[in-house]
Amino acid sequence: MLPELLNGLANVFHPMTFLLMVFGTIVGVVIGALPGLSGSTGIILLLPLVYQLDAATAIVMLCGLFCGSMYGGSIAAVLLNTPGTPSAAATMLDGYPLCQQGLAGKALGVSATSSFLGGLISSICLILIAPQLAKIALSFHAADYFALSLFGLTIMASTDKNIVKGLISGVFGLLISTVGIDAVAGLDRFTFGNYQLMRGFQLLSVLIGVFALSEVFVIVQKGGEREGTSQQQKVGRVLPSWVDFKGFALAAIVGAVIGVFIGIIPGTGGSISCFLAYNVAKKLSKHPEKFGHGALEGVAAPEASNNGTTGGALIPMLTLGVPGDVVTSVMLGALILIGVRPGPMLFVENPDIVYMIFAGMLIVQFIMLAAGLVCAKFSPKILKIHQTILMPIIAVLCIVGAYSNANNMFDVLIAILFGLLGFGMKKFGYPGAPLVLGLILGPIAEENLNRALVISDNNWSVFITSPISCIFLLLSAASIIYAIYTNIRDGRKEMAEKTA
Amino acid sequence: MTKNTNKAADFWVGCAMMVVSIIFFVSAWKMPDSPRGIGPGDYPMFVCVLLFILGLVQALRVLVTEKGIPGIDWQGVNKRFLLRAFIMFAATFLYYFLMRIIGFPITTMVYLFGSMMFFGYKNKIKAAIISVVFTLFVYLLFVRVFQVLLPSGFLI
Repeated sequence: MLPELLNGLANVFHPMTFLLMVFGTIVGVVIGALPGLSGSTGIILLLPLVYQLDAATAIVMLCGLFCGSMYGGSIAAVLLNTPGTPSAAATMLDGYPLCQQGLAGKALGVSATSSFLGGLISSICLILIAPQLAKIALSFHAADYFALSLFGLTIMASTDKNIVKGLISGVFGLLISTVGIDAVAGLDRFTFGNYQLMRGFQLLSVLIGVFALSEVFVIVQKGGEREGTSQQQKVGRVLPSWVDFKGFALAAIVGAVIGVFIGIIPGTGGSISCFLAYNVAKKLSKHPEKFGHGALEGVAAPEASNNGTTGGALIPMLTLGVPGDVVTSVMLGALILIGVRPGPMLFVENPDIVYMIFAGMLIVQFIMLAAGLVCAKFSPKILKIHQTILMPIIAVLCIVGAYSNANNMFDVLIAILFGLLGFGMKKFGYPGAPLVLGLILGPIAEENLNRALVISDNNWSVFITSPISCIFLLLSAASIIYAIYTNIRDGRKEMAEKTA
Repeated sequence: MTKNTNKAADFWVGCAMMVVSIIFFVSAWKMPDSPRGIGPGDYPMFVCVLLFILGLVQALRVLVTEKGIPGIDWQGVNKRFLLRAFIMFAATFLYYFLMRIIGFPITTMVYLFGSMMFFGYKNKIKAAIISVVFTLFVYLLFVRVFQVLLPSGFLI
């Protein structure tokens, strides 16, 4: 493993690759800092550039963006009392009180340092765990892949507050994935006489519509106003002192470990791990009473945990092709678009790409620390960027991005229509990630279902007799049952509160 | 959106999913069978059945909890805000349509400037400069560097 990793490191330090990693990280920090925009929007906006790069360089640039956006979310959380990304929601609890005390620089410095620690620990876990998991995944057969696809979809859908809405979104994604020429028989399906639909719904257009254009429509609807106002024009000293570091190091390490494990579970992510880490850090702290009033540990734990999820979320995405969270589901889409199909075969066919990602993830953490500390100094200026200017620019970049996929105006039309659909989904609480995952996993599920049945001579019991398939199917069922149980429990609690 | 409007939307989304799944199911039903493995229509039919069940569950859940079909609470809907999103969507659609006739550079400049004004950006001169400079930057980046031919019309 070490020679491959060293080779990956050598490739990462290629001047152009390194420069693009820095670029990706800075874009990530800025995008993450702007409330309403997240890492997934950033990845979509960079897709036209991604097409021009070789696969490995493009991926490490996106990794930089992913990690940068996780840290960037804390800037708005500290300065505006509104999280830049959902993963920074817990950072507000102590970050904003620190800002009110005139210690915004300190809060952002702790955030950058903890994010670095979290990212570094999660990258090491990625390097150690992913190759082992890929070795296990290499023994998967067609039936196992079909069950894995179902598992990925159900786990992503069942993490939503309303399981039925999550599943409707995911199954609708599966249905639209069947539009176009059928891969097995070559028959055109559901094109309804439109020859453009023979190519099916292009993943890029759907991604742009559901994740980026819909966000523009939502912000327009709100009037383009930003929540909160910056309390400080200057942030002061950013680098934490050694005494401060010793005070929050344990919380950061605990947060990072929680983040890695939450990140590995498909369908979860930083928004869950940050609160979990915050609560654990509060319980472990010598001064739990300071939490909520500006405790440095209260900033360190959630920030380390949300960056801890980055490496964790990449583990199932790279080894199984099942994303760990929303951003990795968009990243998975981006990788497929540039011809890289994540899964165990990636470790066999393209180990150079895999180890470059590992090396890139390690180096990105150092870049993020430097970029984070520098950007923290300029953060009041970043937050001054008018949404009135930004949103039309993002809309144009979305249109150009959709067009540049295949120089086809029909793809632009699809992106706009999915933008409208995504807007409606956001307004009525239907998650977008299961829809996109359904579109990605649909063809894999169909192909492997067909292959499993052909090999077994149409014997459906193959899905139960294969232990791996059986485990994934049981896990899928368990995730749905558990989500139904929590839905019913929450509903009853809500009813009880109403009657009380 | 009020809770009543959300419930009404859930009910109608459930119904829409059932209708969509029936349309797709009927279309998939007509597709040929395969002697081994699955035919081109089998998998979509399986997905349609799942979608129909989910749509039914969604609609029934609303009917049971609300004891009937909830109406949309129009007073609770901020029509001005909804109109803004609709105008932005219509403007983006018009931008797409006109780009094919007039070409990328001119339509993008007009779209950017118009959207900034619509959003409420006050400084017209700054908005005009940003619109022109950004459009030229994107145009040159894509056409010269990325070698992507952006839509051209009768003007450019």
